[in-house]
Order: sequence, then C-alpha cells, then structure tokens
Amino acid sequence: MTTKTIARVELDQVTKRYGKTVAVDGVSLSIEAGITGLLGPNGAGKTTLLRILATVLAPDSGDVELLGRSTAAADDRLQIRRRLGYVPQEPGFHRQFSAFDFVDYVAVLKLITDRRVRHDEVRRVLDLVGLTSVMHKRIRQLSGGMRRRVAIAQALLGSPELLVLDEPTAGLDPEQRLRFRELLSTAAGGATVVLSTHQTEDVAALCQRVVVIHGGVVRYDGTPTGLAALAADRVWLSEERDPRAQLAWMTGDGLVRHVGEPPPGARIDEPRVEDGYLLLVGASVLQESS
Amino acid sequence: MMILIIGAVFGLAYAFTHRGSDRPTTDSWQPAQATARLDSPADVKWGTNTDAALQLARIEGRQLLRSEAFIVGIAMHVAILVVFGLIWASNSIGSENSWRAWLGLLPVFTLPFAGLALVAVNAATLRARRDGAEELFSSMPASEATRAVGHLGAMWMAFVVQALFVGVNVVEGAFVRHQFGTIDAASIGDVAVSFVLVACACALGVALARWLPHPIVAHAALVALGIGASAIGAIGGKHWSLTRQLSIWPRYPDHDWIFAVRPTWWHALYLLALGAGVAVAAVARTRRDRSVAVMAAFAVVVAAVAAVAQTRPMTDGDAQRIAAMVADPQLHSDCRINDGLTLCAYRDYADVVDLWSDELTAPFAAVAPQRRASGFTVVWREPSLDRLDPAVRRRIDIAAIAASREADPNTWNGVEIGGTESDPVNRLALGLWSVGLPLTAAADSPCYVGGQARGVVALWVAAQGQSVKTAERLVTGSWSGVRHSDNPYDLPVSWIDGYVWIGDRTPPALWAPTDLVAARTLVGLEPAAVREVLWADWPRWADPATTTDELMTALGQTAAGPVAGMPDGAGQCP
Repeated sequence: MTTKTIARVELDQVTKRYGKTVAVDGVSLSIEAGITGLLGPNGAGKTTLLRILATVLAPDSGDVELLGRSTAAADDRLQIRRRLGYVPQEPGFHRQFSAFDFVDYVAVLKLITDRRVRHDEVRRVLDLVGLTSVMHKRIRQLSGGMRRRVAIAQALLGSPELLVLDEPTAGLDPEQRLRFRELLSTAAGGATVVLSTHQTEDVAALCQRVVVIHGGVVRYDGTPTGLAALAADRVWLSEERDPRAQLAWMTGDGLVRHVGEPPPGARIDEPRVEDGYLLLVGASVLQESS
Repeated sequence: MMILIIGAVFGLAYAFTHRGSDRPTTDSWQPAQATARLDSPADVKWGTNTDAALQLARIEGRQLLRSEAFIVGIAMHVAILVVFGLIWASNSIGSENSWRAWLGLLPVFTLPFAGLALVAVNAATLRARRDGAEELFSSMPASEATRAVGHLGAMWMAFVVQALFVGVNVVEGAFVRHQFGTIDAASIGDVAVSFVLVACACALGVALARWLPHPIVAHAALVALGIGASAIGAIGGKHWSLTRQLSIWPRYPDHDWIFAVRPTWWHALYLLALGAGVAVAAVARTRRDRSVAVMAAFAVVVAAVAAVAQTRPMTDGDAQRIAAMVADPQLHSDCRINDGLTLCAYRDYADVVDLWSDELTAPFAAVAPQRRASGFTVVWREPSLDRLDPAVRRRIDIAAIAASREADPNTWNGVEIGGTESDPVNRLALGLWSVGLPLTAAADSPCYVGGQARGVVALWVAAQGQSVKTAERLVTGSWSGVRHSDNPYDLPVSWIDGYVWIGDRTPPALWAPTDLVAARTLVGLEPAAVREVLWADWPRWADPATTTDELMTALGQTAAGPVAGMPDGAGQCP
C-alpha cells in the first residue's frame, strides 16, 4: 500500500444509547495510523463503537472525526466513506451472487464506477484473499471461511485509509488466520486499522495498540505489551489448582496456570495479553457487581 | 391444470436459479499471485452517485434473469405467444384479427409479466435487507437513494423482454395470424402502454420494498391491484365508460375499435406519470430534497392532466364521423364490384376485400346468372350498435339501421371476416342467399330446410372452389354438427344433427341429416354437370316445394330417403 497522509480517528465524549442501555459511554479516543485492536467481552460496546467508526451509526452525543472530517456533515461523510473499508460482524452476502459479482456490487457502491477499472480492482482484492480460483462460484457454495474472506476482500477495495474490521477472523481456520495476519500487516501500511476481535493472539501478533472496552467505557488504552504487563507477577504455575485465583486452567504440560494474586512462593510465569485482559475485565466485573 | 402448470414453471425456474451444488469448495487460502498488487491501481477514480446508479441498474437488470418470479413472467409471455399467436391463430379469421384488436391486446397480455416483474424487482430491492447486507451497504458512499434508483433502473431488462415479446407478437400477427388493416396511432399507443405497464410494475416493486419491506406486501398489492383494476376497468358493464380509462386495465368496448376514439397515448402518459410518481416515492423514502419534491409535483400534475384528457368525451367531429361510418358503411368503404358480387370493407381494412374475393368468387360463379343479377353484397357492418359510445349513439337511429339491414336480403355483414377453410361463414351466407334462404336467424331461432332441394343447393354453392375433401367437410358440418365433440359452442343436441356451423351465432337454417348426405353426393360430382342441371331451372331448385329427392333424381342419383322431423325450437324456413 502506498504511503498516504497519516489517517486518524478522533472520538470525543462519544455516547450511544439503545433505550435505557448505554452501549458507548463518553468514549474519547485518538487513533493514529497502524493497527489498533479493540478487545472486550460480548455486549461491551465494541460493535456499536465500530459501527460509529464505519459511519453506519450516528452517536447520540459527542464528536466523531475520521480522516480529518466530521461524520456529522453529509458531504464529509461521503468523503470518509470513499476512504473507508468495513467488515461488519455479520456481513450479509447475496448468496445467489458469485464472489466476484458481490465484491463488484460493493465496488459500485464504493463509487468505483469505471467498469474495466472496477473489475481489475475486484480481481485484485479477491486475489489478495486467495479466492481467485473460486471467484465465479456462487457465495452459497463457499465455506464460512471463504465467505469471511469475501467480506475482507470487499473491505480492501480502493485501498482504504481507514479499515474497520469487526471480528474479521471469526470462522477462519488457523492457516487462514495466519494468512489474514500477513495480509493485514502488509496492507495496513499507512492506513488506520481498527480491529475488533476475541482473539488475543491476533492482538498480540498484529496490533501496535490495544483498547479494552467494557460496559461502553474504555478500560485500557495502550500497547499489547502494556496490557500483558498488567498481569506481571500475577500469573503463576502450580501443580494444584488454587481456589483463590481469579482464573485457573490446566495447561498441556500438566501444570495449572493461574491468574490473580499469587500465593507466596508461587512460580511466576510470563504474562500474556489475554492475562492482562482477563485481569482488567475481571476487575471491572467485580467492581460492577460490588 | 393451470395451477399445476404455473407450479411446474415455478419449480423449473427455482431449479434453474439454484442450479449448482451447495457443497462448499476446498477452503484453503491460496497465496496471492506474484503479480497481485497490494495497493489499488492509480487509475481507480471515484464516480458519482449517478454513475453508480447506472452501474447498479446494469447489474440488477442482469440479476433479474436469476429471479424465479421474473423467469415465470417470461414463461407467461411465451405461453401467451404460443396459445394466442400459434395454437388459436389458425382456427378462424375474424374481426379480432385486425391489427387494432391484436395490438390492443398487448397491454392485457403484458399484465402477467408485469405482475411477476413487480414481485421480482420487489424481491431484489429487499435482497440487502433479507441477506443482512444493509449494515455493510450503509457504510458505502453510494446512498440508499442511489440504490433505489439502481433497482428502478433494472427495469431495462424487463423492457428487453417486453420488446422481444412485442416483436414476436408482431411477427406472429403478420405471418401466422394474418392480421389485416392498418396500424393506427392508437395501436402504437397500445404498444407504448404495454411498456409503461412494465415500468410501473417495476417502480411499484421498488416503492413497496422501500416503504413496506416485507415480501408478502408485493403479492398482496398484486391481488389488490387486480381487484381494483378489474372493478374500475369494467365500470359501465357492456356499455363504454370513460372512467375506465383510469384503470391500468380499461376494457374497451366489444365493437370494432374503428368506431371508437381510444386515447391510448393519453392513457400511456397517465400511467407513465403514475409510475414516475411511484418511483419518486421510492426514492423519497430516504431522500427528500427540493428536486425530489419537484419531480413528485410534476408527476402528480401530469397524471392529473392526462387523467382529465383521457376521460374527455369524444369531440363532436369524431362522433359525427363515426356515426356516418356506422350509418352508411359503403360510403366509407373501399368496394370491389365483379359481376354482381360487391365486396366492401372500411378503408382501414381494405385488405379484407382480397380475402373475401378469393373466397367468394367461385361460389358466386356457381349461382345461376338470373340469380346473380340481383347482386350479392358483402359489407363490413358493426353489429353491436348499442355498445357504441353514447356520443355516437345519439347521432344514429339504431332501430332504423337494424330495420334497413333486415330489409336487404342481398347484403351480408362481413364482420365475421371468414376466409378460411375452417370458417366458411361467408360461403354459407352466399349459398343461403343463392336460393333465397335467410342469412340470419330470425328471433334467434333457426329455420328448418329438411328435405328441401334448396338447402342442398345452398350447401353445394357454398362448397364451390374448394377441394372435394374440404367441401365434404363443409357440408358435413364437422365443426359442430355431426361430430358433437368438435362443436366449439356446445349447442343444444337437438340442433346438432343437420346443423352446419355458421359463425358463433344461432344458425339461420337447419338441415336434415339426409340433406347433408345428399350434399356430400353433389360436391363429389363434376361441378359442370351439377351446374347444368341447376342453371336449367334455378327457380325450381330454389323453391321450398322442391324436395331433395327430386334434385337427386334430376342428377341421376339415389334418392335421399325419409326426412327427419323438425327439431325442437326451429320453424319452417320462409
């Protein structure tokens, strides 16, 4: 991807409610170019936040500025959408369309209207996600993983400066996830990628920055290493399960891995992103229930 | 049966649109080709919403061909072409075989396809919602209104299908059905209306999907439209009402449309404006700006103007012209006169005269000269005088016209056209005239000529100029008489034996079965030999008192035998 102007996302006190439920509660974020991971439990407000970033939803209050333009103005929104790629959590496909026809349809909606250029572009993005050989098969004939790749392909149309991906790796097998990481890390280039996922390995492997959201509120905003560091000295291994641990599970080598306050003399283990996340979200849950 | 056929067509369409295995293909992520570029080519240019709408229209139009409803609509078109253009084409040639009547049927013929196009376009517009793609699409620069316009633009494919339908229709009319007469501006208007109906259906399909996004709505709308259009289109019953024009399906009067002023172009404009209004409503679901408001207002104004224009009474000039044509057809006809045989058809239908001439020259020549001298005229006369426009009816004396027609035994109304082997109505009329039998049934009751030589002579005259086989068929009445199963009108059994079909009306005369046997004998003889006997004393053979047996004896044939009694409901022929 060619280097473009530094793209960014600016959220200022953004709030979105559904009835009495506050899905996003006064979120302020400033996201620069690079890959930013959005972590959070189900119902945390991730998808709502991504919909706002994709200009699908308007916030009830607060300001959203994408790529230097406000989403509140119709003309600006049009400019943003031209430079935006979006993979919804559940991208609906026209199952009777072939993969090529569907991505071509989306390309038209992206206002890539020159037919020859558009078809070249469609072939390019389908090639990037490894679907060249099946691009003329109907989508209903494709596997779930392939459909997910069709969704990723359409988001890459026109090499967007802002990529909003809501659980893009859901349904991909391990090989496909690795391929996706390869693609995204290369394709990100100078673009801004906001990626929601439940896969903490993806965050650790891909993201320069991670934002943990829970209850519509940002609980953490920093690097993946920093998130993992939250669990420093709080992950330990033992032969037996310790009931005082926040979370414990048997690992493949027969030891029990604990997250939480370690007992004196415990064997401390190297923390990972998921450990930090668990501690963070677990603490929030405890806070809320108290 | 019809439901089964439609079900089968739907099944085939479903199989066609869902062909191909549902089994997922191999799932591996093939590495991108070495030549794959990570960034977009520099020549990717952003178009406008208008450009996008045009491209969407192209795509959506092609996608219609994958819609079951659309395919069934095409199948309906094909069925109509086969049934009306081929199967029923050879049965007869009647006044409905004018180009006016044929092209006038186009809007009605188009309704099934238009209805199914409505369902197809509606389903296409609902596709994003149904498939859960709305969220993705709403993140695109192309607006919802642009997508709506794209769906509206898909009607181009319906136009292509309709153009093919009209084209094949015209070819069938010219080469299979042998349509006659001129194609007037109103008929071209009918063609335009058929296209406009398709456009309106597509627009309504999109509008319903945008405002009432549920697939059942389109079907419900079709039913409601069918009921409403039928009700409005039939206002006034058998009498013409101008209000019918407000329906999408105005049923024009039964009489020939040469006697009507059909504002088909105003009707096309009226429907076009309604369709445009519906299309604007479809767009207005998500776009309500000044230009949309102006277009909506314009559509309403044009629809109102066209509604008024198409429901205006005909002008005095038109009414006077039509009244004159009805009152004195020959004055407004092209006539061909040949040795006492006069053939007249309205100038727009002049080519019918050739048809009549080919059919009647030989039978007329078989009539004795003294009878020919009184002359036989075939003239196109409108029979449904009471159904004419009130403005015309006010200018004619229907009773006087009917009386003058009855008082003229030498003139036959050629409105049935005839002209085919299977429809020998003019031949039979000429045969009946040649021996002084009535040409039409008095008081809707046939008269009986059983055992009378004149009845046999009438049949022999009618059959002249035909091959023996065809002639035998004519005098057997195989269309409806002897072979009951062939009787297309299911006439009372008491009238079947000895009945020779003459048009779809009450037959003027009934023969005894023995007369038909005698007639078949006559048409098998050398025509010159029969003619010599008949011409020697034509008044005798036209006399009701002369029996069939006498005729057979004079020709040296075996007597016909005892005559059957007069059937119920028939009286003696004068």
